[in-house]
Amino acid sequence: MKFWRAPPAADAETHGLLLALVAALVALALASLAIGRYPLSLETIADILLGRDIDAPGRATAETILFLVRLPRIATAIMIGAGLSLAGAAYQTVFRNPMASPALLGVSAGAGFGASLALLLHLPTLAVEAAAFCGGLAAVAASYLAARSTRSHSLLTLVLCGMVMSALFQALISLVKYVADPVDTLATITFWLMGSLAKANAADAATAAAPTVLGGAILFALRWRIALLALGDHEAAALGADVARLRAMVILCATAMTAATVCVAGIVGWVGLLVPHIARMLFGMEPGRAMIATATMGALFVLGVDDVARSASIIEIPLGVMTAVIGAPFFLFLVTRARGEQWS
Amino acid sequence: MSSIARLACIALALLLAAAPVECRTIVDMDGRSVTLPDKISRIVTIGPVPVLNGFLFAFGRQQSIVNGLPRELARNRQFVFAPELASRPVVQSSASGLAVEDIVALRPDLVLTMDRAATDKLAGLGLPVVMLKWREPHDIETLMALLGDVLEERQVAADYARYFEAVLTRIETTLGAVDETKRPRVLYVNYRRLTQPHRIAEWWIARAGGRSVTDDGREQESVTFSLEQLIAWNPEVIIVADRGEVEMAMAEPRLRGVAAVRDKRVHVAPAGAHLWANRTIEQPLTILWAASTLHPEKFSRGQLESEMRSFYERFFHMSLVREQLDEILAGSSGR
Repeated sequence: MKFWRAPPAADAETHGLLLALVAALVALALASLAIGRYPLSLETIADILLGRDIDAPGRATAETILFLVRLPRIATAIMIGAGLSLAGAAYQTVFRNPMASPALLGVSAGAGFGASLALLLHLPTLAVEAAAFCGGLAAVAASYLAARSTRSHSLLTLVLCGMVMSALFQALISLVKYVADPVDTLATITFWLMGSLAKANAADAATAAAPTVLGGAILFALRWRIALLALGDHEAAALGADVARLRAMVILCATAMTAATVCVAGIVGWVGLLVPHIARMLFGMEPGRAMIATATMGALFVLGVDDVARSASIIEIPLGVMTAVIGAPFFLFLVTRARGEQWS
Repeated sequence: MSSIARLACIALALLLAAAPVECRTIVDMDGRSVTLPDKISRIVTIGPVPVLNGFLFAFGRQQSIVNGLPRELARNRQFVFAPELASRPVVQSSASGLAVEDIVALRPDLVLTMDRAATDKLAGLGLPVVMLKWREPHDIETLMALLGDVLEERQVAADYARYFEAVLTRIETTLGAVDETKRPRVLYVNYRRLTQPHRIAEWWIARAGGRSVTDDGREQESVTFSLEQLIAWNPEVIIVADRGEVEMAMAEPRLRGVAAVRDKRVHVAPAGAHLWANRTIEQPLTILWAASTLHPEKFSRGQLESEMRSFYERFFHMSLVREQLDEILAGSSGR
């Protein structure tokens, strides 16, 4: 049963825009195959993609570049963008707070702490990823409970509590680094936390994709009920939603997605805050359309940024640095344009 | 006795009492004037400890170093050259910084550093801090000359400068006119991080008859790049600073088409008093090793080994046995 009908005005126009967005993502992904430091002609790429069997010199290297270097990296960037944006949108809905985002709630720092602790104990990769998830969950729970215990209704309280948790988990990360064996473990932790797509392979793409696809599917299936949460707990319960369970489910999904991105790319800020806002501005609140738009725009943003990061110069620019440099001013611009209407 | 004469006597006595140690002033590589005691027997090295210790080894001053190696460098081979370092107190680490009180308690006659923050901090406590710099390749000669003044061993510094130039000239002569196309494309890399960590490698690769693929006249010390960039450079020789990274690179399926991997020309740089590929007193040996790696037909391993023997004999006053030579050439592992 659907509780919320899409406004009739949603119309062909936004529908067309959404289709255009998805088409743009497909186009950018294809174009990204042709972008990079290794010179590959469009002709060679077309030959390989179309399976034309031409025995040109350098064909093997060209295939390696295309299928083992660029394709996994493109897939990873898309998954990170979609995952962080969907997580951000989910947190914003469930906490009814437009300022909520994986980085601002301390989830990224918490995941980083969980992972560094697992690395300190020399646990296997899967356990490191699980620890990142647990750390992220602990951070978001702590931020939420702290904000609730202040009994303040200001939207800024949750953000402040998130920043406090973020600072706390950053300090705990420092502590783990401090006690880590400087000969081997310390370097591993530092390197892991930095994250990088410079060597992204199929395994990295899978690590980012599994929670994003699974979490995204669950959130999409629950989209109408999640939309009820935006009305407030009482109203949602009155309309038949199991508020506590629903909220837990959304937080679990969003945190798993965030933890996966931290595992692959380190702490990447601003995507989860910025993209859901733009998606809502363009596509309104209708949950299905907003979700697809959010995921697509997030993927477009991170893929585009990563294309620049890996091809502009011989120097590889860290993803987190690029998203912050673009994201922070753009977000300020959005805030000033909104003139404080929704930001009290 | 007149009161004036009495005053003069007291003043003279005070002057004598106040000047128990003779002092001298030198100017360090940052342009700071530093007053040093005449006799320097206790030296603390701060920052890149193995690099600084290496300079002192060349002056035969192993015994004067009163601080140990930071824990992260404890596997360093410096203990071969200075076994006494193992029992010295450690006064710094990358995680916790400087243990200032411990440094003061060591009562150093001389503190050597390479960074301004440590210099300011320790000089502010009245310690005689001499700041050294090694940014351009030939700074090492100025640096050694300054240390020669500081330790009053100018002939050692002069001898090192002569040796440095002689080795460079010899390599240049032997290489002769290797034309540009015969100079292999070389990448020095920290493979785990895909970073070329030290600008100085651009210099020693060129002097050894190679073309460094990262040499674009950059100013920054290190440069980080993507795997695709590495494949695009297609280096014919890859040099790493850790044995484990040779295996990592050889096992990476995506590097299979890269010339260096295909031809099994991924080498680990030797590690003696310090990693030879980075800044180290052993830099003349670095160039000779690199030349013998890039142009084995012109420089034999035997030549390299006999040069190593004579270097460590001449400057560190140590005659190395075969196993020690092999160990140095095998490079570092487990970083």
